[in-house]
Amino acid sequence: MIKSLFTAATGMQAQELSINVIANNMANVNTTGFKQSVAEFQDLMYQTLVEPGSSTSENTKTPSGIQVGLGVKPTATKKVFTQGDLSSTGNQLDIAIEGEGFFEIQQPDGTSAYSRAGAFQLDENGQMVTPDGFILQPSITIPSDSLSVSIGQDGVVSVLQPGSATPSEVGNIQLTRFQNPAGLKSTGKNLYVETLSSGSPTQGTAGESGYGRLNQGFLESSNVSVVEQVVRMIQAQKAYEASSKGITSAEEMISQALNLKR
Amino acid sequence: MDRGTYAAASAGMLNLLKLSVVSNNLANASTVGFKKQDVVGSLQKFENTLAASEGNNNSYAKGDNDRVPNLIGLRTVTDFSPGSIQTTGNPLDVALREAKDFFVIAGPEGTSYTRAGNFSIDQTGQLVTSDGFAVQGDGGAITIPEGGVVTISENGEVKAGDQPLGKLQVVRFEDTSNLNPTGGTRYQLTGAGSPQTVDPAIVAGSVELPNTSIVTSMVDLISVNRAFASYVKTAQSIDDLNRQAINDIGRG
Repeated sequence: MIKSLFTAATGMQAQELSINVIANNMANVNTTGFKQSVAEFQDLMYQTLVEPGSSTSENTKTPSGIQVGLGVKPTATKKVFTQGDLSSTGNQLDIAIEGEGFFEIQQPDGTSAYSRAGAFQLDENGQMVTPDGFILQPSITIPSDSLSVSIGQDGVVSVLQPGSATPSEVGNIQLTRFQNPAGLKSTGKNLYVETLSSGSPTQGTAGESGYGRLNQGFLESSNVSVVEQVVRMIQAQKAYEASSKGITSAEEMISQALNLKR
Repeated sequence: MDRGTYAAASAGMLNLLKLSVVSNNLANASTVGFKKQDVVGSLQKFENTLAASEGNNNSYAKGDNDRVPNLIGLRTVTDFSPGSIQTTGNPLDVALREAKDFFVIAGPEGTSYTRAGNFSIDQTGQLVTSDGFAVQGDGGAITIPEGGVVTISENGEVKAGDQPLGKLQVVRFEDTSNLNPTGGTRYQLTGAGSPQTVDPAIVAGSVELPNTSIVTSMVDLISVNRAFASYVKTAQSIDDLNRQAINDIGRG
């Protein structure tokens, strides 16, 4: 009795988590470099009331026992790192990664975070920073008298200065990869940090050996598909409703049992 | 006391068991690779319960012939009918085409089997289930080297770019009745049954949704509710009879 109440409650909690994840995906449908998450579930433990193979008489055994599942547990909110669409912005400091890899960003506390959002700007020192003012690593300073900035597919940043006909190289944007990007921890602000399960970061040149290419003047849109999210939302809502019926049934039966004694 | 009261109570308890099973099916209505359970079997006579618990024919088993149903006669069975397949586009998601096929997992309880093909890569590069247990290939666990784009083909071959890494091990159970759930959408073989290694038939970039049917589950809920109510009524009627017997008989 009480068992089914809690079993059904785990179902409702799981769908609640699912809806939270979907709502966040939907809210970030226009966030540059955002990657959607999916909530994943597994069935919880089973309570064995009768062991499979216990004897029913001298010569007979139960072919299967009585095992009652105790509900569902969330195992992961998995980030899906599929490519987002590239949209042209014409802004010379906008960079989209086509393929795998992350930009390395230095957080205010000095530690590294990683991002796919390539909407860079310049700070007061001419350094390339994220919209939050966090510095791109390795840091690249654009001279204040630059006429134009060009960023190659391989990450070479060069500027054209007055009085010079040839661009001069000012830095190199490197990309970082992880063995298991889905294991990265999201910290908000489009940033991810390394965890035990992501593996350690490895740096490389854009466009080489599995690293993505850089596209100047483009931004990577979020990879959220609204249609998919709406379908998942319907699924989650209906499953939530279904589990709630389990609770009302249990509740009804408890009151009937209580009314047994008049 | 009247035996009917106990019979009604036992039958009521069975419906509570059914309710737990239905609730679990509903709670897992979006768990990838989940298979619903049913309660089957007929009610058993009380004497048989005693015989079972005492181990052999002793005096208890022979005497009274109460027809009180009990849990021993019932069992839960897992319904391994296929669930529908949802395309996710995730290269590490795979669904099995055949209903009796399973992936082989090095689970916490030893070798286990699962239909949940929403795999991931862990920090050492191994292909694992969503809770981190290694998926077995034809040559043990499959390790994915850094830097490759991983694909899993329709016949279960895992490749990073063009480099073959192994083939997912898929086994078929002709008889699934001895596969019992251990949680974590894993199953273990208890008792007889031999899994046959087969050529994998896989739908890539997809996962198998649970086979829980909301409609059947709702019908089950209704029938459990009504059955329970009728047993409560039965117990109350017997109670009424007893009360009348105590209060009214012999009053002249």
